[in-house]
Amino acid sequence: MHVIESGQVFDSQFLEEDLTVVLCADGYEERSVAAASQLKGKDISFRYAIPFKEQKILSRPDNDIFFQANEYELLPELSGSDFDGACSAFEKILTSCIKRGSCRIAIDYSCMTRAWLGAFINHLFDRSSEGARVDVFFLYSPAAFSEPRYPSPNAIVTPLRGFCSLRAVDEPVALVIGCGYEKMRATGLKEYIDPATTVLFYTDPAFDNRYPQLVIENNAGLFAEVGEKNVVRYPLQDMDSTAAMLYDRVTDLSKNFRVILAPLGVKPFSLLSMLLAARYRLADVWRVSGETLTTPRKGESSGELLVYRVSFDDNQ
Amino acid sequence: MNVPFESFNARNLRAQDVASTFVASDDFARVSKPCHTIILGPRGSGKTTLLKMLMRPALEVWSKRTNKSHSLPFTSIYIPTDIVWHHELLFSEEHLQRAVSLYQRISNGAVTIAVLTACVETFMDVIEISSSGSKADETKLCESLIRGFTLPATIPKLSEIHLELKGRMLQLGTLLNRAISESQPQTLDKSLPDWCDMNFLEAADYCVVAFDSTFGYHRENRWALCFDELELAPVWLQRRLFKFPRSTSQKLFFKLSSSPDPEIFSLEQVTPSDDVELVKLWRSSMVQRRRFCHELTVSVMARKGFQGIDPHSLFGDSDEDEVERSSGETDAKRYEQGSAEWELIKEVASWDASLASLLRKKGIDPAAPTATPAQRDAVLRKIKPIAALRKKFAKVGPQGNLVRRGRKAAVAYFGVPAIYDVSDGNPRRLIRAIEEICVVGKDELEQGKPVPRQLQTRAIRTIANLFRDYLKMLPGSSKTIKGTNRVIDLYLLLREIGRYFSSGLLVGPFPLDPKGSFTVDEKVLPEIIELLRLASYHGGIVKVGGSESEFSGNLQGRRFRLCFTLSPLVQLPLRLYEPRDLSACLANEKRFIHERPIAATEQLQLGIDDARD
Repeated sequence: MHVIESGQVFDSQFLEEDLTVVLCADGYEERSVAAASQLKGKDISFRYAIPFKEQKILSRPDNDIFFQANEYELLPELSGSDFDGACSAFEKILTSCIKRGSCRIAIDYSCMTRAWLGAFINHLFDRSSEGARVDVFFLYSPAAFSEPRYPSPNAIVTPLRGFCSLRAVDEPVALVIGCGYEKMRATGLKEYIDPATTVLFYTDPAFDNRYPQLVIENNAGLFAEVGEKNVVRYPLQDMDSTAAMLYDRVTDLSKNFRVILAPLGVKPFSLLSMLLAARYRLADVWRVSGETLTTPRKGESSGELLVYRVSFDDNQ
Repeated sequence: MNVPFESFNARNLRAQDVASTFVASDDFARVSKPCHTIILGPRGSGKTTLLKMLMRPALEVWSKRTNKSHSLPFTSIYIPTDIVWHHELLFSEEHLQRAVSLYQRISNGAVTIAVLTACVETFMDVIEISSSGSKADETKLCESLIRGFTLPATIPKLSEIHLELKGRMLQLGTLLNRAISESQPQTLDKSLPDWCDMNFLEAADYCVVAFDSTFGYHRENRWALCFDELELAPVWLQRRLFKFPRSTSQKLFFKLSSSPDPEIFSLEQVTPSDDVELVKLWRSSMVQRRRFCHELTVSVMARKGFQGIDPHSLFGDSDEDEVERSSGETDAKRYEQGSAEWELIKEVASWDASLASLLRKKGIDPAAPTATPAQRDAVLRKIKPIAALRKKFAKVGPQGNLVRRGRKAAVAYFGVPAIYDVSDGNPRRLIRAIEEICVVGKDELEQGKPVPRQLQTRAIRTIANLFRDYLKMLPGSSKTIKGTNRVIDLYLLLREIGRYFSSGLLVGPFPLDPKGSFTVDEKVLPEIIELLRLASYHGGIVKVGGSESEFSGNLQGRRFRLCFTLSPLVQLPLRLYEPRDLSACLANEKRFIHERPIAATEQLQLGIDDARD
């Protein structure tokens, strides 16, 4: 399928939209059900939740109860790293939806892993719409503020499945980092990859202004090193502007560099990175994760909802 | 505001740009020999610089810069690898485990394209520089290459062939992605183009023979295939190249750069022969490396606007007890009654009971440490540097035993030798250190005044802290001990080694033969050995001893020291001391091994951590 149009939808407007399917992740965070709660009274034909195979702790039992009580079909459990499983589950949902002729899907990716989100996006770009128009609403409920964890090594640094290409090794590398608020994470990545050029994106304003303050504080050395012209401030709540900024930078860089997108920070930036990479094939997307030596956090929702719509069909 | 560690990499520079700031070393003379060469060194040690300096454009610029001809009896073809490519190929291998032969063909195809692309780029450079040959010659060469590479109808220009090769790499990437998403990827084996099976060595051989015959070069004209950062290349390629395969025309030889301890050396027998030059880019002792550091410093300072300045006049000398000296003491008067050394030993022995006891054992009165010439050479000369360190860094604690003073107890790590040694001779680290000193000492430097010791120390500590952070964030720098929930962190491990030696020097029983390096003994856990390999690659530890021609990727039985860059963090002098078994240094496991919570273990294994942001 190809993208016909994409853009942000304001939450009040989104709640008026007709939906065929809503798909959530059933995890340990409280915000797993945040979007589902807002869609409670809506007439939606199919409601699905994919439970995580692991980490049945914190809010997970309550989330299981919520999804069952609200007539969500709990799909077979999947591991957070199961790309194929996520792809196959999504394929079934999308195929049955397309056969019915109406395909307006809401995906709450707030608690999904990048592997699942990547699997869905890949599938959307890989398959045929069989003549139908497919509207996908990507929903994100930001987490309430919590302090960053103590810095830990970049345990996982690897291309994200579905977003990895093979480019001529003689071309220099440009690293585009979506900065998070954890200390040393972006710096460690930059030093490890050692690219010819680095561009840093960070959100300001954010849903909670303590985030940008910490991003700046904890990446101060890196910001100074790459220089002002390579630091891009984007407004998280304005996804259209963010998408345009990202597109401009990446298209520009791709003329001379192998571009690596490393979204370390907020997940909407990951979404936009994946959509950009899948649509234009100008960049690879990498996954970078630290070790977590403390127990998981409850992940309460901040109450907001960020919606980004992407519409597909088979015409290029 | 501190900028992160490592801000300079020759890989990202054109050969011409590398040459514009190049400082030659003895290593370069050895790398320039027309024979197979293995260059081993940690990250930032200058491997890429050495290989790029063998390229024609670099030699041209260097010759112009120095008004001296720097030609070589061979032409170099530089073939890069990098961490991105490494991860891409590793990722492919992991996801194509069901179709091993398919992965191998894709990997071979990728390497072949990289080699051919490098050949074409070199031809373009050589033609441009030598202005030899006509357009017709280039066309003829291109026609040969198009035939040899089985390219589709392509305009016979090198730039067009270059583009076609890039297109092939993209094609390979597309095939790879398809294969990864297929449930039965092996079925794609038939869709792979034939050029994926091309032998990269034969293909390179074909290229250079075609070039030489077209441009009328002698048939014995030789070419060096320079594979950089080979530790990041696929294992099959490393295995193949370290055997130094002979090319069919005998025109090719290899220059290979890799990490200090290539794992492949542990897996296979690599036999160096007389015609293989082994260049190791690390120095267990820094004394011989200081000349190179000096020239590099002068060059960096000149780039910063401080032309023609002698670093000694700006940074002064170091405390002699903290750095190694090029020659031993010869002045016997230094230990005579009333001399500074005599006073020092007397003073430290007045509060360090273990020193007093040692002196007495050796027949010297601690209250008046006058010695015979034999006692002076065998005892006092050895004691003096440690006594000086103890005076600075140790004191008598409330319990009567020796304890460390705070880190700010004394100014240390200043002066030219210390600045050079803290870099471990690693050009990237030295450049960074000089840049940092230029920042903190900007006011003084602009007035042509010496940079105060405190500022130098501050800059060196900054470099140490940045290097510590660098090590802390490295992927793989945390290892779970097999079958347990216990985790070892690389930096904590190195810190523990440093603290062990530092304690021995500063607050333990006074050592006559202090220990400050370690041998990896049999009792050391395999996970620790893996971490040490990582540390060695990133320059956190430095190999000591071993003959110049020794090849081994096996760390067991090898001697190392902690890199001097970390010395300020553990209060160690910049000197090489005697070895101790590593297992003995690591007796206090609590300091570097910790338990991982079960939930966190699952999270890491399952990659679910990124669910929350």
